[in-house]
Amino acid sequence: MASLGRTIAVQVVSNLAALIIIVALISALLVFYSQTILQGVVVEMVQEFTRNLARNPALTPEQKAQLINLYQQALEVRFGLVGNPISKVYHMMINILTLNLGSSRNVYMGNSASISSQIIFALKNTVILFFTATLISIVIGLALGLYAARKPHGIIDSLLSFFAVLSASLPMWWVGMLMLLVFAFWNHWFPTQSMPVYFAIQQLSQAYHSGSITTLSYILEYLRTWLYYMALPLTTVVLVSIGGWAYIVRNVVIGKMAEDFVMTARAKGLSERKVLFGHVLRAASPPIVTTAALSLVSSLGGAIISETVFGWPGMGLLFWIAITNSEPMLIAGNVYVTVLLFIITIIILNILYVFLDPRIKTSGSQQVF
Amino acid sequence: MSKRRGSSGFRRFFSDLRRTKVGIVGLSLLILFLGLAIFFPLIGNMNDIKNWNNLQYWRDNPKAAPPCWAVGNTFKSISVTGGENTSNLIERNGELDGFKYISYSFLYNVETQPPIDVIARFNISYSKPTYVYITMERPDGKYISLTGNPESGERTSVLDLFGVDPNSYSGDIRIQLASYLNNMITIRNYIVPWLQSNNVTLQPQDVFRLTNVAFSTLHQELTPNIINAKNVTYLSGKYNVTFVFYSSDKNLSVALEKAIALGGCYGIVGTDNMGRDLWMGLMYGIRWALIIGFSVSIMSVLIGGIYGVVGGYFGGKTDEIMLRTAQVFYSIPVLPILILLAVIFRPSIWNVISMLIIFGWPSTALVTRSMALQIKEETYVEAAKAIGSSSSRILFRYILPQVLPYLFASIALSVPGAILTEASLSFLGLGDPSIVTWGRILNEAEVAGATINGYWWWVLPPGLMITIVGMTFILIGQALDLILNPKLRR
Repeated sequence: MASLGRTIAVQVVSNLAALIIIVALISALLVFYSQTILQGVVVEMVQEFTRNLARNPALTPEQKAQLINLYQQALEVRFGLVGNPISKVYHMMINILTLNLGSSRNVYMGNSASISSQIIFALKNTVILFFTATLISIVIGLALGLYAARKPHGIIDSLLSFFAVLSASLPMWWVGMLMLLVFAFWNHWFPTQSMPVYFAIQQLSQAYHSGSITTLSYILEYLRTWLYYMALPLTTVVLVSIGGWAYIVRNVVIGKMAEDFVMTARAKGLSERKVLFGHVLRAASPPIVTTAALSLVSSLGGAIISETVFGWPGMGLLFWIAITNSEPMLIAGNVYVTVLLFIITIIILNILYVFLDPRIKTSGSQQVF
Repeated sequence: MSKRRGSSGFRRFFSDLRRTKVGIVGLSLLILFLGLAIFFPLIGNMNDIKNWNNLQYWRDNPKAAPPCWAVGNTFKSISVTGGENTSNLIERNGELDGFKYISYSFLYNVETQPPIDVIARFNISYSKPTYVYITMERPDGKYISLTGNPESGERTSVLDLFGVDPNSYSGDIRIQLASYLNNMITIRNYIVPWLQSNNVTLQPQDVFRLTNVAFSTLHQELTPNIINAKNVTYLSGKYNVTFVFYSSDKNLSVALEKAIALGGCYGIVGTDNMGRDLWMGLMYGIRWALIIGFSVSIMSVLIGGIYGVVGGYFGGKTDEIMLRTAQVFYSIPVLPILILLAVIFRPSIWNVISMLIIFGWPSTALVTRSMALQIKEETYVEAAKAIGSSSSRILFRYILPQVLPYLFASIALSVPGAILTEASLSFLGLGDPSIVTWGRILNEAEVAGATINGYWWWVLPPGLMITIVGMTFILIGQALDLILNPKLRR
């Protein structure tokens, strides 16, 4: 048991070290980013301040110069442009690691300028869209993959393989653009932007609280509104990810089917169905579960471009908004939360692996990665 | 010795590849794309690519025009260049009432649909006040003065139409007839009086409506409700647009450079909103896609392969450190960091390629490491060690060749990812602005709202190209995978 504890400890420590190194990298990049980009923002704001001051006749030029100077210093302090860069990287690292992210200059999502609440808001939306989509494609993909694996190189299998190849090379955001073209522009079935979903929901709940609609119709309308705004992004994500997922399942299952225990099971006279579900699937489940868990977790980062195309207010869009608005802490928080969730999952999966497969030693060669 | 072995290995690799169906499809597509990339100057126009950012170069093309095969019923563009001997161009000059005049008549034939614009470019030089008179003669024999008619004493200066100094100028002038006509002043002064003289009475709202359709209305059959007609019928036959320049300057010289009647369609895949020929961009994009795909995948797979083999072979502390480093790189979310880097540094294409290599190698390294762990236990490696071979010799002569087939497969399989990532960066407007890639074309489409304006010819083909090129490499990679993992072949 001592070696088990050691294995787990090594896993946790090395993954946490990876997390810290990534945070250090992000902090260094963002400090550099702030120096170059926020400097420009300060210059612009000072210029605007100067123009506004010039309209005020009550002040002498000296007073104005002093005010401008003070304003510039205040801005530099506010944007964190003073001090030595290495200590800034260090402070930023500490702030990120302790999730002390502060506030952004504007409210981009939700109704608070606090960065953590904006990230939680975005994460919630990403979960609603991408978690659902990934779950749907996992279920359908599993069924498709198993079905195709029963008759390798049959028609279904060949079609599936082609579909997998196709979807592996499809840009998801381009499929999104086509979806918008067909279902939002040609047939006005769905909206072109998903951002207004919250406005629609708000109106609905107002109508409900004022008593003009019943609880049942409120629930139905609530679901309908979400589906109306979610349908296109959801279909896009499912369509693009389903093929690759089914192909992984198919390959793992076919690989296991070639092993001796399957032949034994068949020799015992078990039905093909029992062989597939009782023996093959059981042996194939660890890699399938791992891939499923990893794809669920990496879906939490959202898809930056697809969310931008659809205007879906999730993590990806928040990241892009943060980039276009030069909000270093928002960028940092966004990336950090994504990486943190990813690494926590990896640690859990690795520990699970240790319990599931006693052959694993500390060599690391049998880890999830 | 090693060279011969290398080449025979390569030959075996290709002959293996040819034996599978997916391999044949993949290889032939790859050869097609390589041919298109290398011979682009023969099939495409290099000048189009060089002038991709020069919007002046593209101004004579229709903007956001669909491809011609997709729209059945449109006017097909006609153009004449000055000095050309064609029935579509008539040149006259002479003197009248003390004015020297030079006129060019541009003729075009309308069958069912009118052109969307008539563009004319002249080279003109004069040193005394100069005037211009434009008329259109319709197939039904009616004349329309589109500027002040000198016969009734109204003179329109070149200043009003071309914005150049009316007293002395030497250089190029250009007019787009539709944008000149779809204008309230022109409509009030010239088009409404002409319509009224032909017994068409206009309501005030009709006059406003004309600001969108004045040019095409001039091609309609004259009926009392010409503006509000449900089914628009255009008058078919020869139209003659005449540009007359007249001046008291006896040295007036006017040379037509080009006159175009623009159709509503263009080429094989249409144009974007700047009038650029998208076909050229699509074809030229193959070059960059292949350059990006090959350089990123070859470099990152080779680096990752050697890294993993070295780590796996040496083992111990070296391996531990190298493995952890690779894992750190592996858990970095690539796209957000790439976006951040592209925002911070100037996004030249070589920067993008190097960044993709920096983040691309770890996955290969993790696999080749575990392969090296197995291979180093083989007896021939032990034998090599026993006869005193150096580590580098064992690595490069005994272990790496064993890993090589896997590396080939992963080179092929990582090409689409590289192309996709570059396209994603370009789509966000973070690509190299000086080169033409599919991602960039899609970015411009998104910025111009191509999806919500229905410009499908602008959105569909670039993504299709990304997909097909990506598929080519995945097919090749799959064929290699089948050769390497016979288990999958079952």
